[in-house]
Amino acid sequence: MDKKTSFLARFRGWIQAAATVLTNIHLPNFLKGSLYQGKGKYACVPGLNCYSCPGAAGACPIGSFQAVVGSSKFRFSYYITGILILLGVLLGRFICGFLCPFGWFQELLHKIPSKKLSTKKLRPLRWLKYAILLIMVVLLPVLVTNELGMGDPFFCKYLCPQGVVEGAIPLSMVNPGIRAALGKLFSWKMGILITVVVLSVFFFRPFCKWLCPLGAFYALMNRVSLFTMGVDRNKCISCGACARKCLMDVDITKDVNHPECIRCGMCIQACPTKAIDYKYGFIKVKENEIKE
Amino acid sequence: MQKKTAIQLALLGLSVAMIGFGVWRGEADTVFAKAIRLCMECVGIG
Amino acid sequence: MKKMNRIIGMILCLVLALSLTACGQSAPDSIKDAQSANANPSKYTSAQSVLDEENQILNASKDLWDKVFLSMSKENMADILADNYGDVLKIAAEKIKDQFTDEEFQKLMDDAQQIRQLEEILATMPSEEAPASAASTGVFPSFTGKDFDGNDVDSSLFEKNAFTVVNFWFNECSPCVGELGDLNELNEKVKEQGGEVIGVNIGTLDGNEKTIEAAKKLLEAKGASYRNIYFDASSEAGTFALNILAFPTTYVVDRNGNLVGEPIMGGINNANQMAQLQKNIDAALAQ
Repeated sequence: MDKKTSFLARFRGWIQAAATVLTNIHLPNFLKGSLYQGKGKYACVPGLNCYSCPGAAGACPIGSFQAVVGSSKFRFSYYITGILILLGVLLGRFICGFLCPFGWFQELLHKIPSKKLSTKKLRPLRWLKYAILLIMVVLLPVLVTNELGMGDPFFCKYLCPQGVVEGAIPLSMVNPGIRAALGKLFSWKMGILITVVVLSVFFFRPFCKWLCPLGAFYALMNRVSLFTMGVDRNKCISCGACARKCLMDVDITKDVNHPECIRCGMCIQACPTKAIDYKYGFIKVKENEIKE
Repeated sequence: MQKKTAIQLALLGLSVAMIGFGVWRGEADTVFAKAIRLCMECVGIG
Repeated sequence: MKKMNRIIGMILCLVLALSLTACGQSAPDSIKDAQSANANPSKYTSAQSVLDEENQILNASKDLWDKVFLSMSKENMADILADNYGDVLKIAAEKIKDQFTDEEFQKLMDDAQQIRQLEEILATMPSEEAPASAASTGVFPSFTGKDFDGNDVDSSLFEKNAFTVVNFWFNECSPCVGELGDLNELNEKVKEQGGEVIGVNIGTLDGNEKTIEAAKKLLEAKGASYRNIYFDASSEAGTFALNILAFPTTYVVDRNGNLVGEPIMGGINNANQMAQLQKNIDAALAQ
């Protein structure tokens, strides 16, 4: 069991890379400047990955939700919410830590040498992502509609930087017509992207902490997820190394299913007594484990 | 933690039911139709 | 050593940020070049670069030119038609001279003069590179199909119109649906010139009943009465349509079924795109 868990934590970077490639597997499309139009796009990928990415193998869960509720036929999406609950219960924020391309992007940027700033004092900003989920993704496409009951995908249109990285930029590089169409809206979103990029150098995963609606949803699901962390009370010496190491500002010994824990496993590697572990399944809390 | 397991199982069942219902009422077709074509303004190109 | 790392880090950061901005709006530096070089022919390597420069000139005085374009749409196109697009712009601006200050009007005249010169350069370029300013960029493949009322249609409809504006859209695309009303207005306007607006809903290409019904509903709700047609997805025209990447996209087709100018990508309900569309229409009429 020890070998298995440290494998996940140690090879996380490679898993993130593989997930990014698999999520955007249709590589030739980048040169052709076209989109994958196969049946894979009936389904969603687990992370934040724009459908307008030439390589995208599936649909973005957040984009798809807005597409459904923004259509004149529907006001809520059972299909996408069902998928999100399913993924949330099966994996929770493991998706954020291992499978999301934009999360990986921010972590790569964070590797650029610089003074690193702590987000501990910026805790209140965490609530922003829930507001974005509720307002931009769920409510606005339903409330702000044209005469046909059609609403815009507000998050995709006005906020999501992933769409710029994966869609606007690759497409405008190979397609002069799209290049010519770039205007004020693109400038606004490019500004957001640059801000997130710069912040990611100094802070760890600022978009995930403060802005991502998908992360917000999975955060809500962390408490009921089958993928969890375990802290062996017998081995834990309360040295605080894990809490110090954690870049999501979580003290795992106090709360193994904290909504902000993205299961990155840095605490596992920091623990001097190997008290922390990944756990999967319907867990019955044993005597020697820290209760939630 | 029987209570938690019960909740997890219930959510699993609920999510599958929701997915089925959503597909039945045509939501997956809407997702597909939107995901294979580029609506420029929708992704912030414009 | 730490300091070095920090400096490298800052530079990396800057390079990343700059490379990401590279695809944004480009600065209108070449406008100054054009003005000083007085349209030096040898400067231009391709017809596209000439056209780009024309667009930059127009964009630099966007506010003024928007007024001119707006007025053009109300005028009868016939009496401001001319061989050289620069002259067209000149005449159009002169018609609404009193909307501008003397300074502004002079700017417009200067711009029009520059465009006139650029157009002349364009005309001298070898025809393989690119013909006149907004001339043919391909052919609309021939097709047979139906319109939403069940009538048969085929590509002979192009011959019957002075020009045809073909708009590609799909049901789930809210900006596409958003401009259906504007397209209807455009249809009414171009009718006077002998033109027509035709819609092609990509989702209906396989004759899908449900999609056609949904599309009809949307058109009705938006008060769009212009023809919408569909044809076989596997036909040449179907392949052409399905290869269109971004929506909405609008083409102008002349009498002979040739595509005129570059397709307009994005909604036509903004001045810039409308101006481009007008340019294509003018060129189609000039055929």
